[in-house]
Amino acid sequence: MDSVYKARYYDGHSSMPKTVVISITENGLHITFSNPDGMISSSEWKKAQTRETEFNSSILILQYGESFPYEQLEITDKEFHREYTARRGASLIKRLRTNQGMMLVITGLLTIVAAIALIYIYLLPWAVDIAAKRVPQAYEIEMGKSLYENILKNEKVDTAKTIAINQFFGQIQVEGNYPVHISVVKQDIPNAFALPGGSIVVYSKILEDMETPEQLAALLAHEYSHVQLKHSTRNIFRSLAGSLVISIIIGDFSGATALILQNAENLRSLSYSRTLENEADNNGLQILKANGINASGMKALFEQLKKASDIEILEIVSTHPDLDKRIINVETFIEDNPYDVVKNDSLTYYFKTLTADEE
Amino acid sequence: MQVDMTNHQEVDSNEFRFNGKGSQLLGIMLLNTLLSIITFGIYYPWARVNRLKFFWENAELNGSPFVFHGTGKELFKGFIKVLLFIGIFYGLLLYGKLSGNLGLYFITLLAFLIALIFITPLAIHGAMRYRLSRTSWRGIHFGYRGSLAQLITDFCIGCILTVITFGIYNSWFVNRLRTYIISNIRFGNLRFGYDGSGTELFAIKLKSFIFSIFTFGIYYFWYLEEWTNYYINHCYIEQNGERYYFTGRLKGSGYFMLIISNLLMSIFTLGLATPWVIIRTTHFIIRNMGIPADINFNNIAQTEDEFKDAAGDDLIDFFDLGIV
Repeated sequence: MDSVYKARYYDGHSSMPKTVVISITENGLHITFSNPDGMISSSEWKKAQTRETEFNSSILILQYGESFPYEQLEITDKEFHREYTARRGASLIKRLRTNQGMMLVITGLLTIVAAIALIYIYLLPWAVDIAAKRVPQAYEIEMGKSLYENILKNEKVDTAKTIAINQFFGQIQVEGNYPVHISVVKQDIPNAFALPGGSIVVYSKILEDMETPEQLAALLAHEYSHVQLKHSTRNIFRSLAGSLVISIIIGDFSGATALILQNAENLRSLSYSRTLENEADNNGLQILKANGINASGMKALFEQLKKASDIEILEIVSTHPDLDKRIINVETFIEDNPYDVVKNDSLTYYFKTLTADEE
Repeated sequence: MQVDMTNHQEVDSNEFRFNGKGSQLLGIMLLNTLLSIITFGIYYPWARVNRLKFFWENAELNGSPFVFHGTGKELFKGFIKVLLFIGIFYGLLLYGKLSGNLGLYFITLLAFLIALIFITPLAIHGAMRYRLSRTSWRGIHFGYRGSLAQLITDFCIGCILTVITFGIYNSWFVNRLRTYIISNIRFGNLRFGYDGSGTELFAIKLKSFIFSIFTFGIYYFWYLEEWTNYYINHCYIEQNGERYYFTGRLKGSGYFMLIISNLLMSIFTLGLATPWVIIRTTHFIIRNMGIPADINFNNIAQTEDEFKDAAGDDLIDFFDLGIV
């Protein structure tokens, strides 16, 4: 025997409610009317033509009919809601709106957030690195040039020292065919950085602190390695890609464009990962070795930087975090690679012109 | 099993209530967000329908909920049409600009501007027709019988007169549009109507303009009170030739409190309270809009002939810009 429930019925022609008795059957709904004349009549609603509402948790509305106007039932009996759902199954929306469904939705949203974070942290740098490695050299040089102009816009370039430092670097044989141009900028911070395509900027302060030409050779070999190994390009791509993706996620497209334009200013404070710094150190050591320049110059350079960073907290601290480890790395290299040091008077000569004015 | 089978006959004390809960709305918003993300935004029209259904089905008049019959598919088609409409005129403008021909550029620019002016009446008309025809209560459908041509004409004339009179005509313009739109709403054999006057609206605006100067704008909330209540008080439903008026009960102070509390709720929860803010705003609106007490909602007759085909194939029928 099927359970019976009370419901309000509307015939689709008038808003006049009628109380009826309904029960769920195998093929649909059975509705019993008691007419004003005392007669009892009934009708059947077929399953396939019955539609239900989904968003009111206390009143269920069922509508029936193939063509307008539709008949309608309003059922408040929770017992009926349970039996109807149990026998008919609930729609996807209704299932997702239950407690378990909501857990699923929230889990899904959290998964998406986590996935975006993972893509951002791991997949994006990886893809960007691949892209950066494939960038044509001409493009790197072009990009480096405009960045260089942008960065040096508000800086004072020391012309005499710039000439001397380029002559100094001319004495060192390097691989790769980037058009290297080094600029000495008057700045009281011991720093140097490389831009894509061969531009290298050296702050005057770092030169002042130097004692031997080997230190300068080590510094330039290191910075040139960033250029040669396309580190600068990779870094810029990474920092841009990150900002771009964030802008796109939050839908701020005009912001994305602005970010690219602003970026030039931020590049000088970009730091390399420890892996890239190590790569540049090792490549720099190879350059020193190939030129017969004493590799201990690099050790001396790091000690000089360490001393500077002890005095005050400087940008260099974040750029070269593990100076002790890097010094050990240089020492290991020297032990493993004994080679004859070639005396180079030209290097000494240009180094002297570079440091002469300061006295 | 014995069940009482006497027919309901309650007529008096019409009651309009909203029963939706903030937590339920939050659930729907989360669900909509998830499905929109995993479908790359294609789910958006369906998401909108879910939300509309939630509001319709939880609004109850005399214990019976409203039902929204629109579907995601219909809205999806509507969005495509809107995109095409905008795309065509924008494309024309772009073509005119790129052609290098100044005359052609001027013509396409003119077409673009005209399309821009038409968009408002088109959207109002489309949204009214679409939403009302897909709204029912106890199986009786709402409908909108306004003519698009008439609305566009009224709208354009109103715009021109407003510009010529430096904005003074605006009160009469708004009043005229309201009269036209509301008097074309049907609910079965019930007819809606509005009988406000532009002159009175203008007086309210003029008064508030003067008072605002002396109160540094704080009067704004009381202006809204007067303005909204005027609007509601002049709306009526006509049944058997008899007019039954709505009652506006908005208080400037209440509106002020609502805005402030909503703002604080949003700020201190970093926006997480949004669903609750929406729900209490809905409650606020319904609480301050008195349904005519004497109207008999139990004997509305379906007038389906007129509304059956509201789906039409009118370009704008699927415009659903959330204006209503």
